[in-house]
Amino acid sequence: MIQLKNVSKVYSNGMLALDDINIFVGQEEFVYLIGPSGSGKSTLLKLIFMADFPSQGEIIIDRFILSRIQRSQIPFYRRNIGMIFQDYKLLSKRTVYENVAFALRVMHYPTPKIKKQVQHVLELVGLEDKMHSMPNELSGGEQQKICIARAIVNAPPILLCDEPTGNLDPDTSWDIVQLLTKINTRKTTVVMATHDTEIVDGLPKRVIAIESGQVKRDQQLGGYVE
Amino acid sequence: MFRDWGFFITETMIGIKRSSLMAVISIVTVTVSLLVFGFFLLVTTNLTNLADLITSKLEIRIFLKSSLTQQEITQFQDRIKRIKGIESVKFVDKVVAWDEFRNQFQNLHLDSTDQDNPLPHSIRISLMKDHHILPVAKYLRGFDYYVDDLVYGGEIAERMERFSRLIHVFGFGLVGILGISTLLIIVNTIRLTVIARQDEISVMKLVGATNRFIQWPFLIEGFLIGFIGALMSVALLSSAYYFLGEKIQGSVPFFPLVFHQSELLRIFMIVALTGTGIGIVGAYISVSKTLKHQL
Ligand SMILES: Nc1ncnc2c1ncn2[C@@H]1O[C@H](COP(=O)(O)OP(=O)(O)OP(=O)(O)O)[C@@H](O)[C@H]1O
Ligand SMILES: [Mg+2]
Repeated sequence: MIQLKNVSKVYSNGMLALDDINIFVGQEEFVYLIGPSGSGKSTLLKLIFMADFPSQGEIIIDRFILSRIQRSQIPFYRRNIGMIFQDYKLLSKRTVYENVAFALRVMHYPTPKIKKQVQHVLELVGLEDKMHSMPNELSGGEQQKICIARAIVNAPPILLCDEPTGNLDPDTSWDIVQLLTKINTRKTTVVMATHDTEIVDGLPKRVIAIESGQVKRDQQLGGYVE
Repeated sequence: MFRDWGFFITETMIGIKRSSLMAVISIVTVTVSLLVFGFFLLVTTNLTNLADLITSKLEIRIFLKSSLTQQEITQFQDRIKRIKGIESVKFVDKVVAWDEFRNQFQNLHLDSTDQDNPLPHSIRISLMKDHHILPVAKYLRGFDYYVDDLVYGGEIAERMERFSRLIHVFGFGLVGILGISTLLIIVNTIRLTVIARQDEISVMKLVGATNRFIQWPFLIEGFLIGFIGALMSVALLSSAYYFLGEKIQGSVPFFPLVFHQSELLRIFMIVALTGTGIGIVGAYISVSKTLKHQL
């Protein structure tokens, strides 16, 4: 469950990126977050991920009230949230396996369990035979899938995606979105910030459109344009 | 926590490999600084030892007033024995003293003269090792009912004491400066590894790693740098000390060089622990500084 109450974000340079946002996303929903460049989509995801703090308002994620989480506790909170980036943020000097295993290492999983779970999640994204490749030996779509695998390897209840198909061709983009819907049916809430008209119109889900930091539209099974 | 160690150690090795030149430079720096540190410890220990030896050979001689009765003298002796740090108190009868004196200076032909015994009764006091003669002497002089005169190696004792204090102050000052500069070098080395692995650190943060988890490989690296530097300097120091020590004893046999296993072991332990400690502290400073500002 994701809840934003009167959330505003003013950056230190005075830029008002989010302006009194109110959003409620229930468990296991799939939401497209759309809006023109600079409208505040990434900012919103960042606040949920606690990569930054709101200037005003309250964010509640499942049982967490974010304003009450101390800095030192942020890592533990983050383990409940998978985050996928447009630029993948993979470790270039590590194998695919190591990249995914990293997330579990950080959570002190024992090695046999890490092996089992990484294997499982790589099968889910269809890259089990690339386990020992290096990221730069893979295509963009494959790298994005590894990023997804890493984000969901510990089965977090929430998955945030910041333009996961931004750099990919249409076919590969569809592949990724199919994967995200599959993850969604496995009881994971998915919020996906995107510019991709084709996908939003081709696979209708709830659409939240923001513009200049404000919610302009919130529509079940909405299209990219009203 | 325990199961993470394999991972931490692999991570440390990766980090060292990526900035190996800097690691080598730091190890050498630590070694050199610790060499100077250890050298000073050895010098101060030897000088203190020498000073102690000289002071412990010193004794206080009290010449008693002739008016005292035998009973009073015994009382006074008991009194002295109760002072802290007194090793022995010995009464020297004036007759015995006179005999000794005449024996010692037979060339003066004192036997032939009908000279009366000019010496008073006296008490000879020696102190336990590590106890300073000065305060005791001053204290005893206060008993002017008993004490006619009191002599001790005051001048020498005072000089020795001042000298070893000077050595200490100078040594500690130098050691402090060296310690701080070594620390700074390690902080910078580790910072370079931290910067080299900045991307990895931010990814670790993204997947929910705590600062402590991220710190471990860097702390291990600092530990290794300090530890290896410490081992090298101790190896060099001890072999040089034994080598030079034997040479010195060969030419100046009575020079009281410290060769006690336990004393030397203590010094080398201090050197090793200091190096290792500086390594860990340096790593901690640089990595926590970097992590503090990252979300
Ligand atoms: N760290 C920052 N400091 C200052 N201003 C920022 C910062 N990050 C973003 N902004 C500004 O906040 C506004 C919203 O940015 P944000 O990245 O959330 O937009 P977005 O909707 O994700 O855009 P895009 O679709 O291009 O990714 C923009 O005007 C941007 O310039
Ligand atoms: Mg964005």
